[in-house]
Amino acid sequence: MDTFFVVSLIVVLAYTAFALYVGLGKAYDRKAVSSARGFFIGNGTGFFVLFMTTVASFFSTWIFTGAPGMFFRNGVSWVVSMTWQVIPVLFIGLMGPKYFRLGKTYNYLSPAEMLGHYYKSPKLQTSYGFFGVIFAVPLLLAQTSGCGLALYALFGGKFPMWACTAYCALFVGIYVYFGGFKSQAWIDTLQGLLFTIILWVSVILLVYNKTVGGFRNMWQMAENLNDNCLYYVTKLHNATGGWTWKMYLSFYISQGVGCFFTPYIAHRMYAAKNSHIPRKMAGLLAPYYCFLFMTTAVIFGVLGHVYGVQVANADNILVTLTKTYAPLWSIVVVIGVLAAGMSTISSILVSATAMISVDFVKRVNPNLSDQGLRNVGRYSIIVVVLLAVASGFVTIPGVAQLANMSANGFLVASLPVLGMFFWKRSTPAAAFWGFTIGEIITGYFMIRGINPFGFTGGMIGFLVEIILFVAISLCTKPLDEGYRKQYFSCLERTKDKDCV
Amino acid sequence: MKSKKTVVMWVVTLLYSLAIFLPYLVPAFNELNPKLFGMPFTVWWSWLAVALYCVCLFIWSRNGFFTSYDNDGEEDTEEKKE
Repeated sequence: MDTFFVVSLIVVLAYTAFALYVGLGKAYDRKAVSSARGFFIGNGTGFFVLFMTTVASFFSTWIFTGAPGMFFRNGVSWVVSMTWQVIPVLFIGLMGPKYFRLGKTYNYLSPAEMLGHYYKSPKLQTSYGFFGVIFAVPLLLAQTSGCGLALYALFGGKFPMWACTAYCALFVGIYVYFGGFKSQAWIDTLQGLLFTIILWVSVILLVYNKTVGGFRNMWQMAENLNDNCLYYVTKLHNATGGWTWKMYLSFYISQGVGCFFTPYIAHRMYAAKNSHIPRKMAGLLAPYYCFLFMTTAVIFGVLGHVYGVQVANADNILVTLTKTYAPLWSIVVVIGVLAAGMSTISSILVSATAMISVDFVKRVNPNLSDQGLRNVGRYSIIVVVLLAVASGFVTIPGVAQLANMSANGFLVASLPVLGMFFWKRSTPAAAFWGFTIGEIITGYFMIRGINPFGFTGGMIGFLVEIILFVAISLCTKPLDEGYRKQYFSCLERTKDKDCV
Repeated sequence: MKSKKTVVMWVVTLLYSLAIFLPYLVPAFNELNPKLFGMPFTVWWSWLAVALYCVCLFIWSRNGFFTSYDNDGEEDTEEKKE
């Protein structure tokens, strides 16, 4: 039997066994998973685990495949993709503690529940939950498919694609089903550390070798290629790709703002042990995102040019290069891809099933017991996992495309929340109609791949939402001031004095 | 004091946003030759801007720019539905 195949199989099995040992052995908390809150949110997550699970959830297979491919195709101007990573971190600092305190006071399990309660609008909760699931689940399926593809390529096609996808889906499904949020967060921590190390060892192996010989040489070799990959797209330089300032502005706003309002990131604010944790995370997440992760994507993208990778293989630069120059290490790189993908899959799975349980099933059956709610979550996990297994039989659009669609969808999700905290005049009708119509328009443009006036479709959806939100708010009755004061009294009462 | 901190945060964020857009607004940035640590000036500029903003986030997180809500002596529960 092929040695590479045997080693690959052993490594994958060892990774699976160790992850399950961590998640369902060390991290399993029977008491936590016996309640709905414990299952979906955990029993208060400390700084290190919450930090790492946020890191791991935020970055998916995209950091290994899509991101280097974007740098390769669009040139170095795509370095600006680092620049918007700091904006959701700013929101974690500003909004995270508020989410935590409101979540604890009112026992929220989803952001839609928070909005539905504040605005006294059950239909807003339903709409928010609906679009949250609509934008998140396809991304989950694409990630599962992406992980399956990585395994399929690793094993040289010896296992069929559907089997590789099924393995990924079932592996994640098992630890989420039994262990809930806490197990998922601990395995995320392991996976986040793992793929950070794998990325940087890959950088060192590919930069410090006889072909390249260091970072200075890498930049010089890229410049000597004279293919415009080191220039921004401007009138002076018609550089590679379509990365114009309009695209950059669209991504900066949609990804920068939208990424905090993705359900699985906002969900983590409810899961913190105390509100100091999001504050502390805001101080440390940005360098991790930007310099420990995004820098590697810049380097791999440039290396793609330096090593002469073909454009058709742009999304597989890292795997292609390591297979050529460090074949055994390429097995570990695939483990990194799995770790990155599965951490995001599991986060989406927990938050999506929380939304399904709380924002749909519980709304229809308000007398559902706490354990019943937890069980609905588990049944939802089974359904989504089966969908993920089925995704192995079809072709799903690229992860990058779906991630961008999600971010644009969640940009629209930001406005009702911002109105809730920062604009007293915002009304339930404005929140519902602005959000719903904004999401429909965003979904239409993003699915059709239409970029009106050079901006992404999500920007148009957001603009329409802003207009509707403001106009309808000014024409409808706002929430009673006494009610708002009473609702936010928990924030006033618990505000830390050093922040006043 | 709190509103001053908020203003500082948003002004710095705005300046940061302008700084990272400069290579598009000022095409001459593409033409600048100084190679710092071997990398193009535009890459160095973006990385510097991001690094400085990361430092700001760290300082803000340690100096009360972000409000936390843990000043509760007792377990804090409320009726969720009115």
